[in-house]
Amino acid sequence: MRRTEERARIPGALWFSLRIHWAFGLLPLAFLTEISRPGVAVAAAAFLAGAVLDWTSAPRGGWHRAASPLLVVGAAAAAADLAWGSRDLLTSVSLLLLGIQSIKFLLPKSPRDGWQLCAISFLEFLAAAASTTEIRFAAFLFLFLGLSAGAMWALQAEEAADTGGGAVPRARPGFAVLLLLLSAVAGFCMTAVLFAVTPRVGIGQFLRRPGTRVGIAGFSDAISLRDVTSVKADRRVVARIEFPELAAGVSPSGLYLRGATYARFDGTKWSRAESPLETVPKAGSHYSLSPQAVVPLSSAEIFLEPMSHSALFVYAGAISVEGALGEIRTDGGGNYLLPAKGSAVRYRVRFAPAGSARRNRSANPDGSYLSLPPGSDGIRELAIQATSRAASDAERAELARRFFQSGFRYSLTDAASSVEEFLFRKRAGYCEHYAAGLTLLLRAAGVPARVAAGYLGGEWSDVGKYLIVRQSDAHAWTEAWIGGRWVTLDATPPLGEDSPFFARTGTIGMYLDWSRQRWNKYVVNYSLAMQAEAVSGGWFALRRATMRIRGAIGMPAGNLARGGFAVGMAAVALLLAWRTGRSGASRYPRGTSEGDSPLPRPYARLFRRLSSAGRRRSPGTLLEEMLLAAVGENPHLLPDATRFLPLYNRDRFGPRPLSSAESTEAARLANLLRRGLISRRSSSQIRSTASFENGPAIAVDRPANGRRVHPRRPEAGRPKG
Amino acid sequence: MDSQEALALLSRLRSNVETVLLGKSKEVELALASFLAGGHILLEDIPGTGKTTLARAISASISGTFRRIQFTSDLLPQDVVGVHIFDADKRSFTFSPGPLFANIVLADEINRSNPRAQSALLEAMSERQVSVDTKTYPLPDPFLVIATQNPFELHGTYPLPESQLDRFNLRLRLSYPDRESELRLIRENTLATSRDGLLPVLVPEQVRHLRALVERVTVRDSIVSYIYRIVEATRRHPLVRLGASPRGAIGVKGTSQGLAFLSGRDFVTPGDVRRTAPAVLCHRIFLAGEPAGGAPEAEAGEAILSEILEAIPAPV
Repeated sequence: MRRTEERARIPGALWFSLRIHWAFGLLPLAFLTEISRPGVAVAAAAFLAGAVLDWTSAPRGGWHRAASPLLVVGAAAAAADLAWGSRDLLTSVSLLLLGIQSIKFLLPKSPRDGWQLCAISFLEFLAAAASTTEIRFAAFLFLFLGLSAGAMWALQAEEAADTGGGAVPRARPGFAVLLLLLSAVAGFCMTAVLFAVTPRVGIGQFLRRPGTRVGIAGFSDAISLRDVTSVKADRRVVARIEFPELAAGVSPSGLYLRGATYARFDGTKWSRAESPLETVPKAGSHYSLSPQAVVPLSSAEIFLEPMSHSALFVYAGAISVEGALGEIRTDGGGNYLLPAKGSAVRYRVRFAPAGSARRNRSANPDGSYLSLPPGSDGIRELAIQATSRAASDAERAELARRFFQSGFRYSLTDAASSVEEFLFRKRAGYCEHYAAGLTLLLRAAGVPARVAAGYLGGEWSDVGKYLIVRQSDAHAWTEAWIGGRWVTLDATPPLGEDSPFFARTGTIGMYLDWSRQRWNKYVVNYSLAMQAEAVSGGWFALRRATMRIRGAIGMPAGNLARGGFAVGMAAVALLLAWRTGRSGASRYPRGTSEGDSPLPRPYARLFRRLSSAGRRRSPGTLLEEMLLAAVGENPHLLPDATRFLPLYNRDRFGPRPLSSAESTEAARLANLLRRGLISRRSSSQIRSTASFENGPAIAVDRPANGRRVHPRRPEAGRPKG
Repeated sequence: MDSQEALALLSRLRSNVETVLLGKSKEVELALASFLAGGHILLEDIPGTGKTTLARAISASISGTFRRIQFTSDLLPQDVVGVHIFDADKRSFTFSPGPLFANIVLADEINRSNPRAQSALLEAMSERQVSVDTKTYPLPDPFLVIATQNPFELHGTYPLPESQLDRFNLRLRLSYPDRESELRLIRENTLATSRDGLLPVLVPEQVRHLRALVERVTVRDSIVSYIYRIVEATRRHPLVRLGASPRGAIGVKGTSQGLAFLSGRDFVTPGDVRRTAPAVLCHRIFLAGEPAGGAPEAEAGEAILSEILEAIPAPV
């Protein structure tokens, strides 16, 4: 590439935007994926070195000999990675890509390398896009697209400089604005059409390595009393939940999002029931968790962040789950497990709100929900003491819950170390103490009970109308079998805003979270069903609008509206006419000559071939000049060209049409030349370096203005002066 | 005379001129094309680049009459056109023709004379006749004016007005010869002798015949519209105060025909137009805000014209 001259010709901003564009693909790869760090580092180093060399226009003519060995080294590294390293095809291929990119950063030869570097960074973007669910990716993408315009401009200018086409194209702001406007409108229309016709599947499901897994811990097979303190200070978002049926202006409260239940207690630790896992019956993407259909149901759209465990979170009283989740398994005791952990999922839960009537048809739970650890006589006595006045299970449960409201205090720092200590001595603890205590108390009173863990409530985002559930909302509570169903009982005193962990998110934080929620909803976890909903919704909106317009026009008293409509249409038509009229009055008349016969096919194909090879410097360039310039690099085509040009000229500009033999010959020569020019690519590279070594290159006279044009040669090898 | 003969004649004419003006085949070709189209030629450059040599070589190759007028600041129209003098014998005024009455007139250093003498050429150049007092005298046919001027030395000169410049079909700028030609020039030093030794190859009758043949060279509609679009663009260009005239457009067509004929073709290609347009149109466009007649204006005009030629889509 032409270093010194290029810097003189291309404005600094363009120069930089091109370089940054080249390196931009590395950023998402480095920040958002787990692709080999040494590979990224090597590419970044090569980029920096190349940019410095470019800037100082250091000569590196002889260095190109190193390109092929370096390429072999890169390929070998990629192969080694595949065989012994990561054993992952995607990682190895991206390593190879990084290697090629590094070589091109260091040793660029022609503007074509610039285009290739742009393409490589785009490929890297695609690779990052395929493996990330981060909203940060959107920011990278916007920056990348913005840079692309500058980079394309810079490349064009470089190519123009290289072909001797003169200075950097002058910017025409009016034209640019018009172009942007038109492309925005066209882009919007195209996006809408593509959106409607292209089937979509959530990217989240394809989330595999090398994407980063932001695992959120907790909800293992067993919990002990200490587990909760570490979690309470964690402000990471676990889930974002929308409630489609919620009336406007209402925010949900007191909702228990359950992730796990624990039935067995060995004195220190709660663990899951040991019943075998069964597959939840599913029909399409509809999972039936509980057979009863009860009215009225609420529904919640849950977007779960990637977790390091596979628990599926549901609201108490969940009837069904919808979503592309794969095979869900359950232990029959309120635990639902996803097939894989570590991916973001989206699903809809239908549940019966607390207090709604339910018909009872499920079997009573087994005895394990009544078992107490050995040596729990104190608890039994306590249970009798606390619940003796009750006549039914419901009253017993209520009395047991009230038992914790006096004499107990909530404390994270000064908590009891065991349940016994909590119940009988210290009487201070946090949710897990309360949950365990109440469960044991109920069991001692003969009510089947279990500990449930999950999240309570969350922060309501008024901006996006959804609930933000954070890790600090983690909670444990009790579920008791009363009246044929599991009833949520929470002995922990409600803290609300008095809680030491309560923190209100600022406005900016809310908006940031909202954008993240949109990203998750519409990009990462977008599904076919949502697409269908959106299309049908849009269609109905369109039809409603049409009806309304028709109604307005068709109204008997709508003369005014009709007149206004007509005036508006006329104004638009006038505006368009004015625009076209103005564009017609441009400085140079457009098009080739009017009333001219169209270019015959063989000539047209040769013309297009020459144009796409960059021979058409400007609209004024003649086919003759383009052909001679091209032939200057391919002397073996010269005899054909010298036979072709007179025939062509006579055919197009002569007084009489060619004879049939002559026109066949002209068409044959045109095709011959076109094919000769296509196959020239590989050979011209070799020959052009050879011509440099042998001395002066062939000069082609351009007759119109007497300027001389030198055929393209690799500039790195051009001697100074 | 058919076209084969004509071509043979022309190649002899060309080689004749090129023997004295070395390394300037493009300019010679354009000058001959203009000559064939009947267009007057303005040669412009610094002294000593062969302006007069070219003019004399063309004239010497034709066996017609040749006159040279040295334009000076005190030259009067009568000195150019001629004057009525009283014939004492016949007791009446008789016309004594000036140096303009010749087949080829060399107007040397034309910008040194005052506008009066310059405009004496106006009628002669466009109508090929002169009016003296109440009488009009036709000029010989063929009639060709070759003028030279030095645009770099503006002191004591009168730049040609637009109307006068428009009469010239072609403005040629003879720059320094290339290395080989100049070496040959220095070595052989044939400047003084060779041009006197030129033998005429054409008689005026043949010139008229050649001109008739050149007029028959085909110009397709696409070429005509190409010429129109170029000329039109010079009028619309924001930097141009006065664009090319219709006479300029006709000049481009005629000179292109001449060029095509010289290349042995009986039709004009866009390439011919692209080669002639700068020479024919550059001196006819006047830039806004530039002093007229100077070398900078000529260069800026050439730049604008080459920009226009790049921007106008050429017929293919």
